[in-house]
Order: sequence, then C-alpha cells, then structure tokens
Amino acid sequence: MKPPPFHYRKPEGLAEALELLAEPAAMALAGGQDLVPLLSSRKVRPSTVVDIGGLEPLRGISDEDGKVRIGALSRHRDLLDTQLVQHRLGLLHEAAGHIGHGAIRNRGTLGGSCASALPGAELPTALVALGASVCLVSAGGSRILPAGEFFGERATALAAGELIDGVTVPVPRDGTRWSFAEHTRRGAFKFPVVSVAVLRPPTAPSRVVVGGGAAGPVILEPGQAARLTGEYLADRLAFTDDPGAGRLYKARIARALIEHCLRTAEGTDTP
Amino acid sequence: MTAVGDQDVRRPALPGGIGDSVTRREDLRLLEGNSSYLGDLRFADLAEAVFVRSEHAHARIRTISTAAARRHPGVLAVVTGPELAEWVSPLRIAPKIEGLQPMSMPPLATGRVRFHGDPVAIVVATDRYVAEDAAELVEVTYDPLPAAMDIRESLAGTAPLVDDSLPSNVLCDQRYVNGNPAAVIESAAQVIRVSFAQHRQTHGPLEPRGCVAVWDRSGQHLTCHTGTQVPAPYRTSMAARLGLPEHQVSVVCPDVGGSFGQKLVAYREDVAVAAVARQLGRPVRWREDRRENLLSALHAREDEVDLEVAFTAEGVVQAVRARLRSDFGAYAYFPGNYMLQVVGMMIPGPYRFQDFEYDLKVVLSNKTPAGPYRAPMAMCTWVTEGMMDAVAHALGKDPVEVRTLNLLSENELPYRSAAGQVYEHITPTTTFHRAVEAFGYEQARVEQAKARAEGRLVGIGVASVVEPTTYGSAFYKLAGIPGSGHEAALVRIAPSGAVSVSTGLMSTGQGYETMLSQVVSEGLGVPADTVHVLLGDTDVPPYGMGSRGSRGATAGGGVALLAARDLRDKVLRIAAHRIGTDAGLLTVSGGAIHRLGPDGSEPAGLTVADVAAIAYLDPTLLPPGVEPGLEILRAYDPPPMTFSNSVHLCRVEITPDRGAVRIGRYVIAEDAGRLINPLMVEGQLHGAVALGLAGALQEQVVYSPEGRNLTDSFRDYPLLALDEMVDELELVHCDTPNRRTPGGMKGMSEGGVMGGIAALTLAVQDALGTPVDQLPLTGERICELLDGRA
Amino acid sequence: MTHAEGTHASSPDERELAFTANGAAVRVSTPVRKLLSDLLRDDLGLAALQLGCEDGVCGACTVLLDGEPVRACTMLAVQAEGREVATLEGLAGDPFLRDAKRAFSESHALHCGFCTSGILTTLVACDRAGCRSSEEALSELSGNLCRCTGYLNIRRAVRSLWTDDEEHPGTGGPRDTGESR
Repeated sequence: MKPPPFHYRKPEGLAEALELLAEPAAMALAGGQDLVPLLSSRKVRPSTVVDIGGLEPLRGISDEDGKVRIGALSRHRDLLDTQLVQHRLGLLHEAAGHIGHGAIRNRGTLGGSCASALPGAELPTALVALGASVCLVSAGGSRILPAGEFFGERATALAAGELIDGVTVPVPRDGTRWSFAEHTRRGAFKFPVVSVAVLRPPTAPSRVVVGGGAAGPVILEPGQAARLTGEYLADRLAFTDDPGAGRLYKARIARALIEHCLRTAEGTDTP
Repeated sequence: MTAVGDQDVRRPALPGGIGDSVTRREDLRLLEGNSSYLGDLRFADLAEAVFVRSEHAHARIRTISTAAARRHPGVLAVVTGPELAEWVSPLRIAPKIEGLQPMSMPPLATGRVRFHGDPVAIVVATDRYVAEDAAELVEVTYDPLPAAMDIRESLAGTAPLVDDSLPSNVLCDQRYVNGNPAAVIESAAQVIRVSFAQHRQTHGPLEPRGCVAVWDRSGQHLTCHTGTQVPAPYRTSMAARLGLPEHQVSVVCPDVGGSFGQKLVAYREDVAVAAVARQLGRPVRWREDRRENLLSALHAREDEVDLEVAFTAEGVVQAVRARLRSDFGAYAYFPGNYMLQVVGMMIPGPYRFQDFEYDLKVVLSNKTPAGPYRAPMAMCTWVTEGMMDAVAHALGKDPVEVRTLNLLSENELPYRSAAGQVYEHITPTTTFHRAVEAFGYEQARVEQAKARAEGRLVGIGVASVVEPTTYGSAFYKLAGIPGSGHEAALVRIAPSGAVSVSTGLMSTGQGYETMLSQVVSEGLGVPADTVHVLLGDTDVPPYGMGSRGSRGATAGGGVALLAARDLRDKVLRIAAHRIGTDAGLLTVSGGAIHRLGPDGSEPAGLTVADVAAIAYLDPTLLPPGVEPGLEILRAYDPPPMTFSNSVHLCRVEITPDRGAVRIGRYVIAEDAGRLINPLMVEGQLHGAVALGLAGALQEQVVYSPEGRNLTDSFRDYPLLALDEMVDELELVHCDTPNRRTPGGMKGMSEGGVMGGIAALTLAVQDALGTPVDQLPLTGERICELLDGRA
Repeated sequence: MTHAEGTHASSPDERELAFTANGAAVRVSTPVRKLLSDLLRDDLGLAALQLGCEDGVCGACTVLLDGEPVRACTMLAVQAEGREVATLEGLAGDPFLRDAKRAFSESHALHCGFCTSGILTTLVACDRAGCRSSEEALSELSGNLCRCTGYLNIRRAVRSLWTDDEEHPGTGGPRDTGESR
C-alpha cells in the first residue's frame, strides 16, 4: 500500500496550477484525506499530483453581501472554528462537526470533500440544503453552478482541468430553522452512510436533502419527505448494496433520519 | 509433579509476587515509543518483499510472466510458485485421524489459485515502493473457475472441487456419541430444534504479520525475526520446510503488536521470504499491509450448529443431538477438526445432561484459510445457552429457572461431561448465583416488563461459560490431534546473584514478562523487579509450545514456578550446609536467606548472591552431591484440560428505527483460579469481552457470490471503536484455585469472548422476542428480524 | 501493465524537503510519492508512530502537524514542507504526557502497545487544544483503534487525567467547537 510513481508540482499561483491541471491525468491534492489513501491503494494513478495547498486565493472565509464565501482550501476544522460559519451557517457548522474526527478535520478540506463527493458525505448534503453555489475555475475561465447541479449522478460536474475555487453560501433568513443528522458505519472511521439536512425557512416549506446514494444529495419534494416509502427512496437516491448495509436498509435509515430532522428542525434556530 | 497445597492460596501476596497488581515492566519501553516491533528493526542491506496475489477466488493459472518485473530497476528477485517449490517443501497436514483427509499446501500457488488473496509470486527489491511497482509488472493470466462458496453446496457435492487431490470438499467428517441420545429423543416428552450460524471473522491485530529473514552464508544459518506466539514450533516448522537441520535456524521475536491466534504458524509468506533471503544472501523483510492481512491472513469462526434437544416437562434437558458444520477455507494450516471439535466438546457447558451426540463436517471453500482465533470454540456458549433459552421459551419458564434445574453444582465435581471432559475445580453454581444477584436479575425483569409495556425493546441475556484452557498433551492425544501441551522454563541465578527466567512463551501483548517475574519472585524468594525475563529467542529458552489456548499463566507461569521452587531448594541446601543447619529451617525472602523461627523469620546473614558465589566460584564449599551452578530447567505437562468458568449477564435496548443495539448493564462473575496479577487478568477479560461483542455486532468478512472479499480495509471491516464499547463491565471475583496446577492457576483469556457473544446475542433475542439464528447483529439484520416479527 | 513506464517509474521524482521535526530543522531529499509516515519512521528514525492500516482509519500513526493531530499515513511527506511535525519522541518533555504515561501504566491501558503512541499523541493534542473534559478527549479517541484492551482501562486512564481540571495545566481552557456526534 504505497503510492505509485507520479510527478509532483506545487504551483505558486492559480494560473500555473490551472495550466498544470490541464494536462491529462493530472490530479489536484489538497488535504489528501481522500486522495492519499486512493494513491496508497493505487486505485488512482495520476501522471502529476498538483499540490494546491499553497494557493492563497483558495483560502479564507468571508462575508460577501449576505453570502458567505468559503475558499476551497478551508479545512473542516476551519468551518468549525470560524465564528462567521458558526453564527450564520449553523447547518454547515453542524455538518462539519460530524466529519470523521479531529485528525481528519485538521487535514480534510471543503474543496476536497466536494470534489470527492463520496455518497453520504456531510458537506455536500449541507451545501445543497443551503442552496450554495460552487465556483469552478479552469485555464479556460470560470463558472458557477448551484450545488444541486454540481453533485450529480455518480459524478460531480467537475470537468477535466477544472478546480473548485470555493463555494458561496447564502445566509438563511432570520428565523430559519435547520437540522442535520447522519448514520455512519461502525468502527473508528465514522464513514458516512446516509446524511440528511433539513432547512426550514420561516415562510416556506422545509427543504429536505438526503445524501448517501449514487444519485448524490437529493432534494426531496416539499411536504412529501415524511411520507416516502423505503423502496421509493432507495430508487430515488440510487442506494447501493454494501457489506452490512443493503439499499433498503439505507432507505430505512434515511426515513428515520428525515423524521428525526423534521422533528428537530422545529426546535433549532439560527440566530 | 507438584500438586498445589492450600498454603499457596492462603499465603498473602508478597509485594511484586503472585497476587499483586503490579504495573507492567513492558510499559516502560512501550510508552516511551522505544518498542521494537518488526518494522522498527534495522538491518544493513535490507531488501523488501511484496507478494503478487490472486484477484480471483478460483482460477487456473495459464501463464506467469516475470520478465518485465525482473528488469525493473531495484528488483533483486521475482520467484513464482513452481520455482519456489524446488527450494521449499509443501506443508502437509495429514494426521492419522479417522474421517480426516490429508492436505498439502505449496508455499505459493502452483497451477491454480484457490482464494482471493492467494499468493502467486514474491517480488524482492531494494525498496518497498519499488517492490510494489514491480509486483504490478508481473503478468499473470488466469482461466477463472467457478468458486465453492457455500457450505451446503459443498456438502451436497454440487460445489466445484477446491482441492483436486481430494474426493470432495468435505475435509473432515467425524461423529461422537455418549449414551443413547437417539432413544431418549425418541421417547422424550418434548423435543425442539434450534439453529445457530456464526459468520466469518478475522483477528485484526493492529500490527499485521511480517518477518525479516537473514541468511548467514558463512555460518549457513538462518535467523527469522518475526512476531510469533510460538517461537520454538515455528522454528521446527521453518527448518523442515526449508530442509535445514533445526540448529541452523534461529527465531527471534521482537515486540508483537497483537495476534489473537493469527501469528500461530510459519506462514507461506514467511517460508517464501526465508527461501529467497537464503538464495539472495541478503536480509529480506516482508511487512504485511492491512489489505493483505484482511485478504490472506487466517480467518475464523464460520461455523454452524443445529441442535435437537429433548427435555422434560419441568425443563430438565435429557439429550442433545448436534450437527456441526464449518467452512475451513481453501487450505489447511491445521487439521480440519482443530477448532470445530472443541465447539462440539464444549456444548454440554456446565449442564448435567449425559445423552449427547454430534456429527461434525468441515468443508473446504474458495475462501481464505481458517484457523484458531481467540476462543476458537467461542460459538459453543451461544449454542448451549441458546438451547437453555429455547427450552425455557417452549415451557413458558424463566431462563434462569431452567438453567438452575440443569446446572452442575460444585458438590457433583469432578464430573465427566456428556462430551467426556472431566470438570473439576470450577464453580458453576456459585458464579451463577453471584452473577444473578449482582445483576439484580428479578428486579431487572420487572423493569423490563415495564419497558415492554411502554413499547420499548429491552432484553436480558444470561450466559454461563465453561472455558477450556491450557490443553495438556493428554488432551491432544485423546482428540487425535498431533502436538504437545507441555511448556518448559529455565531459571538461573548468575554468579553475581542476578536472576533470570526464560520460557517458550511469547507475549503478543499479554504482559508475560511481568507475569513471569512475579511467579519467579514468589517461587524463589527474590524481589520481582530483580528478575530478568527473556522470551522469544529460540537460542535461549528451552523448547516450549508457546502461547495459545489461554495457557500462558498455567503452563508458562506454572513451569516457571516449579523451576523457581527447585532452584530455591538448591539455594537453601547450599545455604544450610554453609551455615551448618537444616535446609528445612531456612527460607529465601527478599533475596536473602532467613531462619524460620517460632515468631517469624530472621536474616541468616547470607544472601542469594553469596550462595551464587559459592555455587559457581567456590564449589568445594558445596554440600556433598550438589553440582556447581544455579540453573534449573523444568518441563511441565499440564492436566488434559484446566477449566475456568464465568457467568455473564447483560441488558440491551434496541432502537427500532435503525436496529441499533445499546448495551446497558453488563455483569460478569468470574472464577479464574489464583490470579497472578489481578490488574492484568481484568485487562484480559475486558479485551476478550470486547472481541466477543465486536464479532457479534459488527465485524464480518463478506464475500461476493463470485468469491471476492469485499472487506479488505478497516473501512469495510469495522473493528470495535472506543465509543462502541460497553460503558462498564461489573466484575464479581469468585476465584478459587485449581488444585492440580502449580500455584493454583487457571487460564482465562478466552471465556470473555465466549460469554460476550452469548450474553449479547441472547439479550438481543430476548428484546426482539424472535429467534436469532444468524450473526452478526448488524442494524440491517436486526431490522430484518423486526420486520419478520411484524 | 505499462503505466509505470510512462511515468518514469525507474526514477520517481525526488524533491528537496525542509521542515521541522521535533524542533529540529530537517532538510532531506525524498521521493515525492513517499508518505510522511514512511519518511518519519524509515528516514528520520522517528519510529514511535506505527503503521496499522495506512488508510487513515486506525490512528496508530498520529503525529502533530503545527500542533494539531493528523494521520501521517494520509500525507505525502512533501506536504510537510515548511511545517512543524512532532512525534511522541519529541513530546517527551510535555508534563501532561508524563502524567498520561503514568496513568496508562497504572490503569493497564495498554497491552501490545502498538496503538499507544497514536493514542498518547492524540491525548496531548486534546490537552493542548484546551479540552475541557475527559469525555471530550474520549470522543476524540474514538478515532483510535485498540484491539487488545477493550478500551475500558483507556477510559479509566483518560478520566484520571481530567479529574483535577483546575490543577492540570493546559486543560480547562475555552474550546471553540463541540464535537458531540
């Protein structure tokens, strides 16, 4: 379990990074919490690993006209430690606290989590619920996608040569309630199986987002979430059979989490 | 052989001696990070080995091309199965046991691969990274074959043949009968059938396997550095496989990061590494990675038991007929009956019935080879106690009441169980009543009824464990398994007075260095912290059978105690002669000779060091007939079986929406004999229970129908984490000495696994109100049971 | 498989790397694909950390990176450029660690010891981060696997370290994040 050979580049600036990433089979390395194990098991074989850890433009968490801009290199730990996230984006703050444990949160980044988009991953589910936008940059320019479009069936919209610059998250209106819950695999890793986020604006129906299937985080129809059958959820989310958790079991968990989140969203308020 | 007298048990613990919860001497180096596990050893010119492994469960090897790998810069050797077969003889397991097929295993796969992870070639390079690169360049082409993955198909003869030198996949087919169970079942008032199926698991030591082989060309000597539980038998096996006389092989064990039965054999990989190191004339290291460990190190526990039980209207069990089945995997490292026979042997548990039979079939499959895993018989307690619950359920009686009717009491001992095991010096009734009392069983049932009325799923599980430990040679003979149960110790006092002990045991975390120092301290009368302990180097300790089957304290500690006492006797004879008194009037305490008097003892003006100086350097002062030197070598073959016993009670609550199990109170009453170090004994019990709970709840090797192992990382094979362990184990000590073993010791480190699986599973069954016949109790499984119930 | 040839397998890229290990400046040339865990253990001889899974799961290779716990097996060594790495060896002078070692021995919280370096390093990080209670520390420790002890004595040892919060330097400080799951 040692990484295969690759070239390694650590660009100083974004332009250089994007140029390097335009090469075929180049891969971006941020915190490495997903990528390095994949390298060690030789499940990925990049020609060049582009270490984007030094790119200042991808850092920082800032308030921009009622939206919070979060740089892709922000670590889960940073989401937890930043007052702006804690006070304005309670749902995202809560979701970040569910990720693995400290040693993972100290390295893993928001950009990495979005690019990997593992089924059930906490941040994608929360970002879709919050109606965030994902900002992508490449040598050819930049584009912005709603998180709900970025996370698609079995893949993200991230194109070859593209890099996640960051996300922009609208701050929910005052009085918005939210809840987040997840089910993890047993063992030390707390690997997410199903995650559910509920955002309940004061005057609109709750938005219920469920992650954990191959379909990526899915927004369920307002008002119907609590009445969905397991079979329907399993198909809609494209849950797969894993050792110890088959698709219908995942759907059952999803239903339990949805109920739980809808209940607790009544009592959780963002300041 | 010295029988234990009461005086040993009543004597208060000396500081550092038997019975004292001293902190471990091993901790010093382990806490400082100064340990030396295999990966920490340094060698000049060390080469690194990796293995090319089959991705197929079953396939014919069409071609292997190693040319590209050999050409790769940094590569020193690439060796395939057929090439290695010329240097190494296969492992043949062919004991003359009726009903057992002989088997042979080449060091690397030749002709066919038989499981996902089967090693096909070894690649040795100057660097681990380079070796992995080169391993990818070994091109193997396969003709995939259908895989034998199901016990039933193999029994029916419809599965593909795993070993084409055998007539079928049934490796072992045995029967045992005591009394006339058929007749009793025929005429019984009531007969029920109960089924139990346990899933495949693996040991998961945090340090994977590995070895460093060093071949000294001028001395023609092989040194194997490896973490094994059994250094001496490992050497015997390695020498035989390589065709070397045993004195040309040494085995040296570094610190070992856990084993649990997994590091019990000279693996095929070890033999391959040694053979290649010998060819290269250069040290070669294999450091197994986690994926290899989960794919190809021993697996365990895939057993099934079906029972027919006859009982009276009161609930007295009269006869049991059992059918035992086990999946043994693709090759034999052990005789086929090695584990499953002990399951059959222990099904009677602490109960009185005599009419008993079992038939046992062990089948091969295209899965990883199976072997003993801490409590290889672990399933038996679930089976026996599940049977008691089934009887209670059939009669509408309380499970504790039914057990009480059948339970052996101490005054019936010694008792020959239905399986022919002679129980003595155990306390099934005492531990049962004390556990039930400590748990507050009656009140717990009242509370359970209240919770149920509120719709909550609360259950209580009870499990009595009789734990077989310290298998003596007579047991092996009786069971038809080749092997010895003896252990040996060498206790020495150097001319300076320095004391040392060595045995054939090897610690993989149990703290044997501390344990042996305590035993020798007591036996010899010297402070424990002055006793040097040396384990795991076959050039130093005498030949012993090593660590397995909870034998460390009784066999290893026992023989060290015997040797230390003999050495004390010699010291006293010399001292008595020197002082001019009778040896019977002297004793050794704190490293000095004391005179026994009516009001205690007083210093006799002579130390052990003084006696040592005489023994080695001034032998003319020795009494007539006493040889110079102070070294005692003893060997000790323990009784056929040394039993300990315990009772586990636990309460669980199930969350119906996800099928999650929350373990509430957990009480254990335990009789582990005379405790050498109570702190360490409790630690062993904690670890054993955790392993049992982990297996029952969540750890599971999963194969696809085609035979791919889907659980090849710790993400997919989830070892129990800290926040998943029960909050507390409430222990009730009922320790009574064994009167046959030196010091009164019993083994104890497997019963926790047995009781843990049984108590938890039966508590869950009680909470669900529906039979649980298949483990593990994953959330998914519990939801299925809940749905089935509804 | 020809992939390796196409990527210069015979001479994997090397890179000059400068970082601080246990307070000492390190300058070393390393293959860019080398894991930090291997560099620390094999090249620098900092072998207290152990490799249990090389998959970021077991926690045996936990080290401090700029004072924060990370898994050395999920970092390329080159990612440590300019950073400060501390291993158990380098934390030896930490008074909390000395207490923790004593507590672990007294509570018999280690058997084979293979996980112990990672567990102690994680605990030091908890202490330095101002962990307010043993329960917070235990929550963090649920990411470190131990196969031998059954964890009960680890819990006992950890609880003994936080019973005197006021007297214990480095604990009881404010904490930014709650980590309850």
